[in-house]
Amino acid sequence: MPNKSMTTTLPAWLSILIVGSIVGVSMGRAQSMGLYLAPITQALGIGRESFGLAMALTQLLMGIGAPLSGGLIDRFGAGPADHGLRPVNHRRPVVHVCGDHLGASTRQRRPDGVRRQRHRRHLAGGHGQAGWLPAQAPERHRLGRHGGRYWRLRGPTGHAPFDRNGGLATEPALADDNHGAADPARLADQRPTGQRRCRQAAEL
Amino acid sequence: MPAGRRAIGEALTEAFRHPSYWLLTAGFFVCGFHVAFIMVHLPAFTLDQGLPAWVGPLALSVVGIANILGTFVAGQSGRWLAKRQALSLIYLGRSVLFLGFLLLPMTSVTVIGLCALLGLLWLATIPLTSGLVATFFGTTWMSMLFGIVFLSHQVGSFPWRMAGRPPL
Repeated sequence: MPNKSMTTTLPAWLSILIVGSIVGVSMGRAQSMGLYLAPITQALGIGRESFGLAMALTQLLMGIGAPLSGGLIDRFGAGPADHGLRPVNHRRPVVHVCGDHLGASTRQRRPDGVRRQRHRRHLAGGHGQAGWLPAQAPERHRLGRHGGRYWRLRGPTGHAPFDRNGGLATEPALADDNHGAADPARLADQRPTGQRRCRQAAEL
Repeated sequence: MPAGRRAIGEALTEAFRHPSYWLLTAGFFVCGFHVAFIMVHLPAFTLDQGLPAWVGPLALSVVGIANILGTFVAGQSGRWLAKRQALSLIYLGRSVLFLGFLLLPMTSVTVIGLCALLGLLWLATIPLTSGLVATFFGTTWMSMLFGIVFLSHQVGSFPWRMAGRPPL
């Protein structure tokens, strides 16, 4: 069921070019991993079996995810899937992280006429990327259910990675009131996030 | 759910009862097996064969460049050739090329040449396979059904990737 609230404004040839470029970059990385076999195994002192197992698991997980994401896309449309699957809201950040690895930005026109360009380079550029974002996703969902109060999760540099809709905040107005800098007063006022809770639990 | 739209269960049942869908899945399993060797083990394989270090990266590049042409031609071939026939020819061609890896003396020229030919057939299976899925079952649940076929591809690539050395 395609999302009728979003309409593509790009011409077909440009869409194909952009999607082709995204697939090219992602597939190019995946298809050339063999180049790193020798240097990585030598540098880490591990066998080819270990490297091969890592690659195999990566591909296997990609394969497992394919029918699941395919079914969701068939059910809800590619637009909602890219924007984080509204019906399964708590999975949005995880899906976004996957998408961010594939593409740098998307541009779509909303019914209100506002063009929203979501640059996600800052996320891929230095926030620990896929490591901590999926781990934060359930926490954000749990916090979101308590009174509907939005709870901003902050990365190591103080950026708020998610906007009010659960997507990745990129626009300055949504990203952080303090232009990305961490505000100690606000941080102190916030309830503990998942990372802090884990740290506190470890300290006890 | 719009009227006339099949439920996911119906789509899966129809697909799993379709013999050609299983054949397509099995074929893609072998495709994954082929791709894994080149992607992960070819550069190290060339080093094992005593070839210069530049051969492996260049071979992968040649595969990629040839793949652009091969995939495009394969997608267009669906217009004048039955998709199943084109797919069969691709798998047959791959088998012959892998025999070449087994039987021909491994030199820089043969590796690059074989990779150029292999690149023409590299991901050329994808447009034909996805096209067949769409032909069989329509586009309503195509992403999911092709995803299942792709899962078979990845499962097929798993043992070969995991192998420490290619059995060549």
